[in-house]
Amino acid sequence: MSEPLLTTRDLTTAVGGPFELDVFAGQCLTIMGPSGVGKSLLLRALADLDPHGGEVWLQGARQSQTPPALWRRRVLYVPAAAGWWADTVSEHVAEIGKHINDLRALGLPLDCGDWPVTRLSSGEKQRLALLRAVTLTPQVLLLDEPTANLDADSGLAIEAWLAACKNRGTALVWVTHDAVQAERVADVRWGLDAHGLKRI
Amino acid sequence: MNESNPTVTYGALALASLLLLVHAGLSTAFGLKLARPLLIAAVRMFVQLSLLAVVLQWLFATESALATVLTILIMLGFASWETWRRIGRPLAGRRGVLVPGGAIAAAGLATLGYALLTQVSPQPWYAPRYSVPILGMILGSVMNAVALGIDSLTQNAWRERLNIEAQLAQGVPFTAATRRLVQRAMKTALMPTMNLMAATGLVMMPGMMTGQILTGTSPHEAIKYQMMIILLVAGATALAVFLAVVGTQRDLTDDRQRLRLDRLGAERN
Repeated sequence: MSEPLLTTRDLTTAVGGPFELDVFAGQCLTIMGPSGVGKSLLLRALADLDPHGGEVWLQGARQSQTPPALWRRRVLYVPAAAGWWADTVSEHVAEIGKHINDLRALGLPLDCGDWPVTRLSSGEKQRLALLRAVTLTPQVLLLDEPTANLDADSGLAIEAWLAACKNRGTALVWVTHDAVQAERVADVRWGLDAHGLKRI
Repeated sequence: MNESNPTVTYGALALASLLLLVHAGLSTAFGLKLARPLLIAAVRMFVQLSLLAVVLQWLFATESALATVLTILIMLGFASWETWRRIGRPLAGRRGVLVPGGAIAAAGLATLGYALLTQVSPQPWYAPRYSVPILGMILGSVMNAVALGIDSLTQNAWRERLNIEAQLAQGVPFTAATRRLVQRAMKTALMPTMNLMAATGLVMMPGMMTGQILTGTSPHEAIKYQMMIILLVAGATALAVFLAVVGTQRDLTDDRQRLRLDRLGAERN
C-alpha cells in the first residue's frame, strides 16, 4: 500500500480530538456527524486556520514547519459560506477563459468573468468558490458541505466535477450531512460524534 | 505681550456661563434630558481647568525635571486610557491599552523632543512652560486619530472575517489579506487632521492662535506658532496611527498567519 498523502497524529481542536487520520492521493474521505460536534473545526485545523494541538503531515512535510501560505495552497479549505474580497468574478478565478469546460460542468454562465460577484445567485457563488479553489491545484481539498443549499441536479453536477478532480489525484476530505451522498462519493466514510472519529 | 490687553475677570466668566442657560433651555424644551449632564460637564470643566491652572502655575515656577517627567507620564497614561475607552472593539486584555498607548507615547515623545530640540529651543530644554502645552496639543489630536484607526481596523476585521479567511485559505499572506483594511483604517484616522489643515484659517480660527491674539501677541507671531503646532500634530498623528494600526494588525495574527479574532475584546455599545 502507498504512503498516505495527509496524516494527522494527536490532532486536537477547540472541541474535540485527538484525531488520527490518513488520507491518500485520489481518495475521497467523508465525515458525517451532528451539528456542533466540530467537523468544520477539524477541517480548519487541517488547513491550519485555527490554533490546534498535535501535528499534521503532507507527504512527510510537517505542517508546523511549512510556511503557512504554502501549506494552505496545498491543503485548501473551502468553507460552507465563501468570502468574496474582490468585486468581479475574474478577480477570483485567474484566467477564467481557460476554464470554460469547468464553468459548463458546474452550470455557471460562460461569460460571467466580467460580472460582479453580487450578480451571482448563492448557489452559483458556492460553485464559483469550488472552481476558485480547484484552479489553485491543491493536493488536498477540504470541503465543508459543498452542495448544501443546492438543488439535486446542481449537487450531482458538483459531485461529478469533484470526482474528476479526485481522479487527477486530488484527495478530498468532504464534510456532509447527507448519508446518501456520502455513500455515493466516498471511498472511506468516517463519523464524528462526542466520543470521537470512527470509521463507518 | 501687549500690556493693555484686557484680563478675563470672574464676573466676565459668570456672564459667559449664562450662555449655558440657553443650552439648558433648549434641552428642556425639546425633552433632550441633557440639562443634568450639561451641568455636570460644565462643573467638571471648571474644576478640571482650575486644577490645571494651579498645577501648571506650580510646574512652571519650579521648572523641576522630575515634576515635568511625571506630568508627561501622567498625561500619556490618561491619553492611553482615554483612547482605549473610545475604541468600539479593542484588543482584549492589557494589549488593548498597551498598543494604542505605546503608539501615542512613541509618537508624542518623538515629536515633542524634535520640537523642543530643533524649533522651540527653550532653556532648560525640557522647560515645562513649553513641553507640557505642546505635548497636550499633540495628544489631543493623536488620541482621536489612534482610536479611529484601531476601531476601523478591528471592526472591519470582524465584519470582513469571511473575506479575510477566504484569502488566507487560498494561501494569501496575512499582510496582503488585510492590506485594504489597514489602508482604510489609516485613511479614516488621518482624515480629520488633513481636514483640519485644509480648513484652518478659512473656516475656523484655531483656539491656541486665537488665545495668543486675545492676550496681545501679534497675529503674525501667533500664526507662526499655530503653523508649527499643526505641523507637529500632523507628524505625530501620522506616526502614531502607523504604529497603532500596524501594531494592531500584528496582534490580529500569529506566527502561522491565522486571523486571531479571539484576541479582540467584546464590542462596546
